[in-house]
Amino acid sequence: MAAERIFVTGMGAVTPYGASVDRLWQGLLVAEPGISAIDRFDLGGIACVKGGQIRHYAPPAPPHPLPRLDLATGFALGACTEALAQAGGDATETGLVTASNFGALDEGECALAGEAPETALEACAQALPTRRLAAALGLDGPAVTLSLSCAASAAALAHAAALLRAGRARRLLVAGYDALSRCAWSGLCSLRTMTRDCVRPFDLDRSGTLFSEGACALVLEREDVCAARGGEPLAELSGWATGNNGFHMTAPPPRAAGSAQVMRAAIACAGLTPGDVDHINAHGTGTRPNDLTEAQAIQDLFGPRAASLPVTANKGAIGHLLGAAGGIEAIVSILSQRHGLIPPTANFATPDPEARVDLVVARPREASLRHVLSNSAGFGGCNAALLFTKV
Amino acid sequence: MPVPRDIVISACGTLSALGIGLEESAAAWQEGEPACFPATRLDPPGEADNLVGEVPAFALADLLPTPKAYLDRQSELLLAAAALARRTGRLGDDDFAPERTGLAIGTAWGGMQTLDRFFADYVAKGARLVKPILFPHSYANAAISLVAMEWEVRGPHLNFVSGDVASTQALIAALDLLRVGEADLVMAGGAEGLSLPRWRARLATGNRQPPGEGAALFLVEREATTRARGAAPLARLLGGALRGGSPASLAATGNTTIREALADAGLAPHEIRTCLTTRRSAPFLDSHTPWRVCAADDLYGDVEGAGGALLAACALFDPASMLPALVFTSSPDGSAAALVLGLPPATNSSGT
Repeated sequence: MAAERIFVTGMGAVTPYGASVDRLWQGLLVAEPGISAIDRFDLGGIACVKGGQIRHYAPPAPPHPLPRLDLATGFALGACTEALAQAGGDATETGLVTASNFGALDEGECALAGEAPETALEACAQALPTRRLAAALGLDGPAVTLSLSCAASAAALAHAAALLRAGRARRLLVAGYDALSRCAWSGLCSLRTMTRDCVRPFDLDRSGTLFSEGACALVLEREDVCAARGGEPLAELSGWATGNNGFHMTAPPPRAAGSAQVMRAAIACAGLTPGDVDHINAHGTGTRPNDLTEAQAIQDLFGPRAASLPVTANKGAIGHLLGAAGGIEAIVSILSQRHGLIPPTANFATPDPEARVDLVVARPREASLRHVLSNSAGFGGCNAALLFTKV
Repeated sequence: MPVPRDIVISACGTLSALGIGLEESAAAWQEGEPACFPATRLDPPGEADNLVGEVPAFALADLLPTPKAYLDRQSELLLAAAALARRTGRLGDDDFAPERTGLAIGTAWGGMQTLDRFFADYVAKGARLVKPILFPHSYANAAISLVAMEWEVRGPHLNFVSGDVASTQALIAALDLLRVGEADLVMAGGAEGLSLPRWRARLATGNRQPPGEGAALFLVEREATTRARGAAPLARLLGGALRGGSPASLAATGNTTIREALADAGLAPHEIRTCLTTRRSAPFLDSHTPWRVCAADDLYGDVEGAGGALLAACALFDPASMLPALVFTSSPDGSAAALVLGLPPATNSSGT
């Protein structure tokens, strides 16, 4: 008996461009810069001053109002509301799988600093945004929270698909989110991965990444559940894999063996071969080690075909959305498939002969895309890959 | 499609206030005396009763081949539990395929002790003078990553931070990974370290149960692979279920979760001998429950995200009298998760 297919039926996004999937897509198509000077909190003299801060955003009023809302949950609420509206159906039969690096740390750090009541300390534990989202949206399915650094939302999509296939849920809302906060920003700066320039994925002169905030949300459901209610699938999540490179807390292994492993496993999970993949939405952080090794992983997995397999990296335009990054890139992968259009990688000027891939640059590229692969990675050696198939 | 029934727990590494390792912990369990004592590693916050469930002193260097420059308490506990599980499960470096071996871990607070240290530096010295070594260790996935690196565990990788049900969810994920054949072996369980912010948060929300620290990590695999390397199964991992709902309906959610877990395990309610739960979850069990109910964390303190894993370890302290056992955990947010453990197969049994 064939395994039940898993469909994506709704998508939502809150990014530095604004609050909607359409705004994300339109911004990426013209490689609009989503980066600006951070001014929400005192940077304390750190050299890194630019990032993808979300401005002029007000979370939508949820069906069940909450007494308090941290930044990240507010972003997620916007993305989830958009995704549920697109998917339709009954939210009460929906479970929730969420993922982030820092949860509601903007609220928790105030308590740690003595600026907020002690009750706010519970925001340092990552289940709080999940609890708030489930309550605000009236979801009563299983509630799962994952934290797997910057591969978190891709891993959450993978785990959600596994839960659906195992029959542990019928329909799941998957949300990834993170907000920039004093604690997160100073820590990320201390790791020396940020650039003072712009993010230039796969460029010879790339010098680091820039971090952003935001949220993604995707509704996943089994084919039979979707069909029974007359839902419209946007794409099939046909393959998925998570893993760990077992190498280093902050550096990728030679030739990004962990990325190659999960990309290979996601393709196999879909019952396909690398030759079936039409496009890769890369992790592409703009750091020297990531882009070099990710390009090598693509070369290792796809062989000579890598030279003509279109690759794009969204972080050049919108920065690195931390725990939301993988899910945002999943959404862009699906949009690319549906529109037959791959957004360009922003800020690319000079090819790196050692990190050579068929990068889409300057303008969107038209392409007929049946199977699109999205690759994600994060601190601690976390890896995740997702394969989306056109329906 | 038939559900495989040959998935077993082949080893358990556990550390809690009861002791270090299965044998020592089981002996303390049999004595039945609470192991929560005045805190020695932290100054109790404010008006707190100073009782905590601390893990007895141990030297991680005795368990791990490589020295560590810095570790968060949660990482220390998880690494120790993993080392103990590998040792007791006779799992050598050549006994597993790294890409076919997964990790599924639960914690509520992750590297909170380190996050507190890191942010205290930020407040005291400013953003430019924070310590870079601390930041990666403050991540909630630092501990699981360190286990992956220590033993090159490169397969499916899931870090659950779903509050009190986190490690129960991790064990269910392990079961599913084996059922669908995505892994041959999963190191699954949970770990929770004790930190001052965690303790303060509990007091602020009116939780007066002594906090505990601990870890339990299991080798979950098929019976045949266990026996192939000369180890013997400790228990079967038969089934599980996870549900959500509103806090007000937690009793109903709990009942549904238990019913689904038993169905997943292929057992009838009367076949369960013991229900292991936490003090906070016990009130949500049906008062007519036919099982012997044991709020095990009364002995070793509330270990929050590691709760389900520690309860599963308790089921192995006296398997003959406790199995088949139901492990039931819930979170104040309305989530519930349950696991069913069965008696180990006496001899090599096959398939489905």
